[in-house]
Amino acid sequence: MEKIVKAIQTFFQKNKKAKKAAVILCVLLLAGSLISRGIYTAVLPRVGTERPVYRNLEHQVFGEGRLVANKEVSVYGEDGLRVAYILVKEGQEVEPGTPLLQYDLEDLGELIEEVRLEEERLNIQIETLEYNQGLSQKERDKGRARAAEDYQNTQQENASDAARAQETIAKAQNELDSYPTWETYLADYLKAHQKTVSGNTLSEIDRALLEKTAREEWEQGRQILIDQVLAKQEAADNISGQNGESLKQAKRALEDALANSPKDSSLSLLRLEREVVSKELALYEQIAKEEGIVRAELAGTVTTILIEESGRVADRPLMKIGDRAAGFYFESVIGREERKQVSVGDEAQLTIGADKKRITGEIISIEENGQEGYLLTISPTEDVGSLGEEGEMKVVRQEADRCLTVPLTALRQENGNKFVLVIEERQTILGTEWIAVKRNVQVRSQNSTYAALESGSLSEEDQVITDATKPMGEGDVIRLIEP
Amino acid sequence: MKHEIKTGGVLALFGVALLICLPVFLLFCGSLQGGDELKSELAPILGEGMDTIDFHLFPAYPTLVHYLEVFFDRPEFYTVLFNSFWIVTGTLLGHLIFGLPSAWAFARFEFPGKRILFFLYVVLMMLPFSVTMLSQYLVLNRLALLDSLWGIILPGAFSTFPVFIMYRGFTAIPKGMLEAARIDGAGEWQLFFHIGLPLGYSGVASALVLGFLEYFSLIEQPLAFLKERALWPLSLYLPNIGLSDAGYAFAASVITLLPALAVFALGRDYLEKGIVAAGMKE
Repeated sequence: MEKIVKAIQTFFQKNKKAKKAAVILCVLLLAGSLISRGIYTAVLPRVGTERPVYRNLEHQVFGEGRLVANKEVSVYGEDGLRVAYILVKEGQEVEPGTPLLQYDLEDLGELIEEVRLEEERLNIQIETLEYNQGLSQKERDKGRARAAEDYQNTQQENASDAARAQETIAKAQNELDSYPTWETYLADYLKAHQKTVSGNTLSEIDRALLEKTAREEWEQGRQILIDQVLAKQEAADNISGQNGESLKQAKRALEDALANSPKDSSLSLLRLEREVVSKELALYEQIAKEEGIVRAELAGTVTTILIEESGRVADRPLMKIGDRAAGFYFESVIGREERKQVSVGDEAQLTIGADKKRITGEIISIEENGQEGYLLTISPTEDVGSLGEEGEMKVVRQEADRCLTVPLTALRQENGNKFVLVIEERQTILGTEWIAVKRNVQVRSQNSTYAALESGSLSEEDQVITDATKPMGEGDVIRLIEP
Repeated sequence: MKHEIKTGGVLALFGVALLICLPVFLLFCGSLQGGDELKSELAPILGEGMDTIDFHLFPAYPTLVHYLEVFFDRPEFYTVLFNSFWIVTGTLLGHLIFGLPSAWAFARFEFPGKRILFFLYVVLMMLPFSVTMLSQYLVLNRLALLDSLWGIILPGAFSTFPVFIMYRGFTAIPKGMLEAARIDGAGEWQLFFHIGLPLGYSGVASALVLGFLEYFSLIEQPLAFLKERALWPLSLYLPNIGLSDAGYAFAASVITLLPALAVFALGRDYLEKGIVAAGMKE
């Protein structure tokens, strides 16, 4: 071995140039290798990784809000009055009897005067109307009495006419009934005429002539009586008809007189109007007596003042007072995305006021709040804080299913598809290197920190790239940031 | 006695030489062309055209950017280069340690079965790698030498070809010199180191040069036995550079030529002497 080494040394001693060149070449190669490696690693992105973890994803919804009254009472004023002074401010605590505002007394006085005049006018109108109605009633009563009397008289007259007519008929009928029969008449006739004829005997021809003449006379006389009866009957019928018509007329007149007169509500209306005016007047006088001051009727906090000084009261509340006795709600507005994480009945943690009092509450309603999002109403479990006090709320909800989660910083998106980059070892010429490999994922849900993925895309063994010192993509060689 | 070659013959020889050197020249020119220029010339190969390639001998816009890329932007080049050097160095050391004594023994000693053994050496020398690949693979696998540089170095270290070259060099040493040295009391090791090596040095050097040239561009064994890319030599790395990196491939190829050229330049004399010595008869 020594001889071999000596031979090599001899070789290099003889070939100094070759020795120099070989050394320089080695040095250059080594230096180049180091520099090249240095440059290569310097441009490599350094990444931080995390392994996916199975967890029940927790969603936290934060919001700011304030305590609002459970029940708000509106304070109304009297229409038409002018507000001179507003004696409270929004947020001010009030007790029963606390002056809230004062009306303009001068304006009130004018108003009272107007109302009084109005009442007077109404009184006059009512009196006049009552008098006129009295008169009308008397006329009507008189008319009724007359109609009744006429009807009665007509009835009586008709009855007497009918009786008289019947009597006449009866008389004529009696006369007819009393008319002798033919035989009797003939016998009497013959007897009468026998006296006038000589010898007091009648010949057959004379008898026949007498019979004929007697017959004619008898029939004529009977006919006359019959005609009389008929005439009397006709007359009676005529009278009956006329009497009936007159009775009908009288009855109609009586019915007309007894008929109800058309209703006239003007008096009632006027009375009602007067009642209203009187009440209004009484109210205004009462307000004037109290110097125009409107006082609170309950203990609470003035939440909203809806009128300005010198404003005139219209048909709307002057202000709203939150009723302290009814308790408070906590109201907060959340965004549309956060709405998916809360539901009615969820527990909320509240932090109220400057001293950060912590209480819990229950979400009792979620309503749309225009384009801003949703209004959350939370019922606190204890009475803490005062109306209008601001605070924060937090709702924490855990998903029921345990899912594989990755940090949100690991999630990337391209052409609408979400993916993550995981690191894989690859054998390259430079040895074992880490390569970023793309894995498509489907996000099931996410909160502000983590995203829950559908199963199958990743495993707990994968290391997901969460951050990088340089932009990078699939297939890039990376370096790990040492923990 | 000099033979004058006629002008026509010179031109013909020069033309043939030029033709043979043309690929190397194209390689060198390609390494100086920028990426855009190469892309436009090699577009048909890259699948972006139906015409033939239009490769210019001289670059329109020469640049050294590819060489900078080789030296500074691609550390893997140094890795594969060093792999090649380790393979070559290990193999040549093996030739010196195992082949040299074998050649001296074949050249200067008589022992039973020498002819048969030498014949086997020659046969093994003649066998192509594809014939012995499977047996080599099984042996290396059993020895757990697969996917390691020793799996390339050891089979090469025991190669029979350098034995053959060095044998020819040793056989050229006159017998009488050795006899005289023996008479003077020199032992066999002394004969080997003081007479055999110095006088047969040209054979050894030519075997080393040829060995360097062979193992620096070895491709079959690394392809078959090396899976880990970190162990690849230059001969495997260069073909795997894509055409889209043609400029880098050209520059890397030029740089790969340099060690072989340097070794050839340094050892050409010994190569010629070795070949001459092998052809001489006593």
